Amino acid sequence: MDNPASSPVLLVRDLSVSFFDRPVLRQVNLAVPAGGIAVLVGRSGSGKTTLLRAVNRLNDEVAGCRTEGTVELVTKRGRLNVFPGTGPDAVTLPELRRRVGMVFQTPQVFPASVFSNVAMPLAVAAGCPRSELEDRVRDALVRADLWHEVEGRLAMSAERLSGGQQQRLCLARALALEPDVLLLDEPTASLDVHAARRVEELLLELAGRLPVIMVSHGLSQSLRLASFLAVMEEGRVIRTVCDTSGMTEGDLERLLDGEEKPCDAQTMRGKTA
Amino acid sequence: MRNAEVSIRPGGRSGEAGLAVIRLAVALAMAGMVLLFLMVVAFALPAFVQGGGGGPFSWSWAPGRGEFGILPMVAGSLLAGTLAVVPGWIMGLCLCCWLMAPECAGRPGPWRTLVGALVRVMTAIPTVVYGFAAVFLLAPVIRTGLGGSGFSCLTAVIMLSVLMLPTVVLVLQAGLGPRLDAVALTGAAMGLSRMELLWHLVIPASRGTLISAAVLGFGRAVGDTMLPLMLAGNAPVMPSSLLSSMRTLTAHMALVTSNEVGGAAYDSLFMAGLLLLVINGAVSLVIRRLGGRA
Repeated sequence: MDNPASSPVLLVRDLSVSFFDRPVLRQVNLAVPAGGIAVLVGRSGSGKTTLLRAVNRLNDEVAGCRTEGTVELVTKRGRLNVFPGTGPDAVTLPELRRRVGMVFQTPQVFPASVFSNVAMPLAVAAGCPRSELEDRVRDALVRADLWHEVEGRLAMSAERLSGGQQQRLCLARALALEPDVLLLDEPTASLDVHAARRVEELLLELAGRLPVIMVSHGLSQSLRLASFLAVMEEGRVIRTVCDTSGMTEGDLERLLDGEEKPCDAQTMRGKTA
Repeated sequence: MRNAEVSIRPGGRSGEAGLAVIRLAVALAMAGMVLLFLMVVAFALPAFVQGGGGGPFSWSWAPGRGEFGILPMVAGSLLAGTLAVVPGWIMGLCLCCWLMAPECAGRPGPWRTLVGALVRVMTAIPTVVYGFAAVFLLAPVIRTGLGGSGFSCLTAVIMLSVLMLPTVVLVLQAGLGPRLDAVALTGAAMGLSRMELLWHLVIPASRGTLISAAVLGFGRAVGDTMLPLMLAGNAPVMPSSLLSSMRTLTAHMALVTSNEVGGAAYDSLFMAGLLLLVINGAVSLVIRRLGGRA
């Protein structure tokens, strides 16, 4: 299953997740190669978000959730047993979530100032000393391409930023914690075209430095960003694509509909249009 | 009711009739309020006009000597309310945080479920039951532990702070709960616990709710009659210490109405009622103003 070209960053084996005995993921097996952006695509309700949330165990926060199988992350800091979270490679849930950054579909800024939005998790979750806070907040805002827009307004309420700015603030907040992996759940779904493009550019730039796994609804966006695609249907990963170059939206559409049956087991080479 | 529903439709004769019913209801409610105030003020006026040494604004309550001073009771009410609101509010805030921040989100566990239910049950317990329990349980403890008769300012204050606890907790839960839920998942995704979110994010952003809880708790303490009546000793003097006897305005009104019908003592009660209204209104206004400005 492993791709010989690059070692995997995420290994999922026989993962099943159900909520109140209603199965959402069924026996998912997936190896996400390191490098670039891995995109999970699929129709609504195919289990993309649940799979993404299995990587930082956010499903555990939802009542009635039952998880089986194993989830493992291989980061530059070493192997991490995410689920079941036992053994020498396991860490506590707060530690895991600090090391696996996440940005949600709609911008989820805290009802606090721009500065506090980044500084509070940094100080509380990561234990960053007060003296370093200012520098690290600025650094994160620079990396999220937001610094020059909020430079003089750090004390302003984050809720007064525009949608695109809020989403980049969320990105800055996640980056400030120096995560090993970044998870994104349709990060541009609630943004206008211009703001979405800006976030996309930022993500491509970030992907050079840390593994990014994202859920996307848009076919064109998936093709623009993905270096690895996992197609989901009814709680299963039905196929993966390791090379998306030359793929068209039509190809992807057919993949989503399950029409295109690739001859080799899991990998389909992109075709020239 | 029928008319009121129809009035949602703009224009039309039935809409106008509905509006008229609504206006009438508002006018009646307002008139009732105004009449109540006018009545209290009108009845309090004779006591006000009386003035002199024995008037209500003096420090001596001795109806036998013609002295109807209610200032000791005003001080007693203020003291009891203020002293009770501090532990009551702090306990309420802590209890509320504990109730809202289970280690495992979405699963409050048996203890939190039980305590949450108890807090809601507490709102339905008549204060006379608290008072009765305290007479036999708390007063002897204070008598043997700290001295005095056991019926003191402290005894009443302790029970008043317990009395206001459910009010404070429920107001805080109603205000902080939705704010916490809004940030819970995002916070969890960063490794922040619900308690950390409450403490560092939700509570600092909810000053209005915190103030409301304190104001309502204070109002509950100042307005309660039974607990001070049963526990504070009821001496109509300014308390010299936490262990000395005192009388609140509400207890005073209950005591005097049960003994007098008419006369100067009776008239002074209207003044007491008016002052009670003014105290509660003023405290609420001042705290809200302070909170809004700070």
